[in-house]
Amino acid sequence: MKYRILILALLSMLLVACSNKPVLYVFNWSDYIDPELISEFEKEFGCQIKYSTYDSNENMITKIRGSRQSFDLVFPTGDHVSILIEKGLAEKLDKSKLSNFANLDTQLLEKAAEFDPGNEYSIPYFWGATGMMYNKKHLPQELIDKQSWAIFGDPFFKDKRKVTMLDDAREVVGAALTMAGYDVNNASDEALEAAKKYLEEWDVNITQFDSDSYKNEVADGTTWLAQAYNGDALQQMEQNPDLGFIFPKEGTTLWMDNIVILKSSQSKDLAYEFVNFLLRPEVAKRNAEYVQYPTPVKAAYDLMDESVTSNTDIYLTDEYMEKCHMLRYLGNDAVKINDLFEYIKLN
Amino acid sequence: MKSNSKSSRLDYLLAAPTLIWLTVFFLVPYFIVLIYGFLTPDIFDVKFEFNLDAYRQLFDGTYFRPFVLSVKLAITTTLLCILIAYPVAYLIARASDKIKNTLLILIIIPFWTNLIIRIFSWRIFLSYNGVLNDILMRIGLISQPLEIMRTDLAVIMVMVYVYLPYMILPLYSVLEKLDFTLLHAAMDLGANEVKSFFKITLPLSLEGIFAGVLLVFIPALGTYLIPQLVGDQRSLYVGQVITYKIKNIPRNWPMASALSFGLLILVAIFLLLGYILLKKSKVRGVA
Repeated sequence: MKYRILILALLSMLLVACSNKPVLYVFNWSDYIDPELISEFEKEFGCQIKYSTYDSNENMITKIRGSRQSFDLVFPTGDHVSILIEKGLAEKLDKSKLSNFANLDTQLLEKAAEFDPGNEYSIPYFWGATGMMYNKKHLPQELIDKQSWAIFGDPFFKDKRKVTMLDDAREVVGAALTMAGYDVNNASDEALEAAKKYLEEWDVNITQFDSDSYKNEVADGTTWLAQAYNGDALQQMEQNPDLGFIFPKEGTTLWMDNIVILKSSQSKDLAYEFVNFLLRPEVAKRNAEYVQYPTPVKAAYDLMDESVTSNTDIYLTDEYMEKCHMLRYLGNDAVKINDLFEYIKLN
Repeated sequence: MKSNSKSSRLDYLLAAPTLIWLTVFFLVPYFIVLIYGFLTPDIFDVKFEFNLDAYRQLFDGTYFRPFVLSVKLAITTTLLCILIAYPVAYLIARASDKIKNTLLILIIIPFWTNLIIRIFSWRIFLSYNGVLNDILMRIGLISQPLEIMRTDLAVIMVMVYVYLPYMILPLYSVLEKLDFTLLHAAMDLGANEVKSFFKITLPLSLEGIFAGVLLVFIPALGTYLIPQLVGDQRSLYVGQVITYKIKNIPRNWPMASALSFGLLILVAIFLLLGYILLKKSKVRGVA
């Protein structure tokens, strides 16, 4: 009996050794890639992709630091790219191996440089912007026409319990900082003091800090106005003509998820190939159509439906982009922003 | 009880596995948690440098409101559970054997479904366009949907629903053993039903209430899941604050440690109070 197990174990080891296909370990957000692309890549490069998913940057970082299995590629949001760089977990990119790097939108690369100076460690994957999603049935047009973060503080909402903001310190404080005329990454005492004034004004109306349920709640009338990610809002708007979305005229925060090759990766060459694959215009187009977020691969725009690329709620105009800023990792200053958000939440 | 040293040695031997288990998997980890409270927070975890900031913040009032909310919630939940559970437990205890078992199974049935699924059902039930509002509007009791979801009321409703069995079962086990002939005796001696309840039934079931309070109050004080899923995210309970401190980057594990230690102190205080009250009422009962 003992021998049989031993033989089985040896046999299985042999089998593993035989299937000499290289393996690429990819760790991505759930539902964030067209699954057909994975099998196509496997076929083309004669490899196997072991694909795992996560639901928050925090969980991703905990996993890659804690687990013995090493991943090759991860897809952190901008500020978490900075954290990976600072902690020495990200591999510095060899641009000579990224033949499709030129396909990327240069304006977005500039924005990405806010968290990854010189784009040395990360490649944009998908991106988006925060705005306001509303229900046309309940909101008067003149309020929407203000096109401003200030709507959150409007007396129209007093005692109505119909306004939500995202459950995210950087997004909420970021909106207030923008309103006060500061950069979203400014954590100076002066800027935060100014932001606090707006937050206290808005807090009277805000019923909820929520990053998830609002999508359905604006649609069903539980909420009338929500701070919202443009991608989420547009998905809902496709199904419900009562919904609308606006960007505040003051500007807004941008987020970007990025591809990062980990320093600990065992198959970096294959990882580079996968990045190049994702940057092919045809692949980027299909992936964007599946995921429904804007792609940073400018070379793919020509292949896409014009109604998509001309929608300025997804592909923002160049002028509006000037007013938008990428959320950057702030190190210990982030504590001050967290504290302010906590102060608003707890009081 | 311990008549000779031999049997007491045996007692220790029998208790040893439990004691070792508790030491290794409860006391030691708790000690580690305690130590983390005196370290310096770092982005992901902690720096091993002595730091008193967490405890300073614990006592300077920053987290006063979550603590007050948690204590209020735990007390409300416990009281409501006692009020609802007592008559139920009493009825079950006095029912005939056959019905008794059926009733007990009915109490336990909710445990067969996962807690998270039950909470999500409540979300559907209570939401703005949910089942409850729909029914109330159809029968004409209200004309506008009520805002129940994401309020403190929703939290209390779900809390009472979830913790009720933990109060019914210990109460039932005490009431079942109650000698009901005592009540007949009391009535024969001229006490009315109300008086005999307060003089006999209630004092004799105090231990059941105490056990139920332990099972409800302590978990209710540190609850996270229910307020997170049905509660107002603008009134955070201690359990939620602890989770944020552990999870959100930049993390603050020392603060999470200090807060959970604060909870432990609160539990200890309330337990001691309850214990003293129980002792007192017993002494009075005997006299």
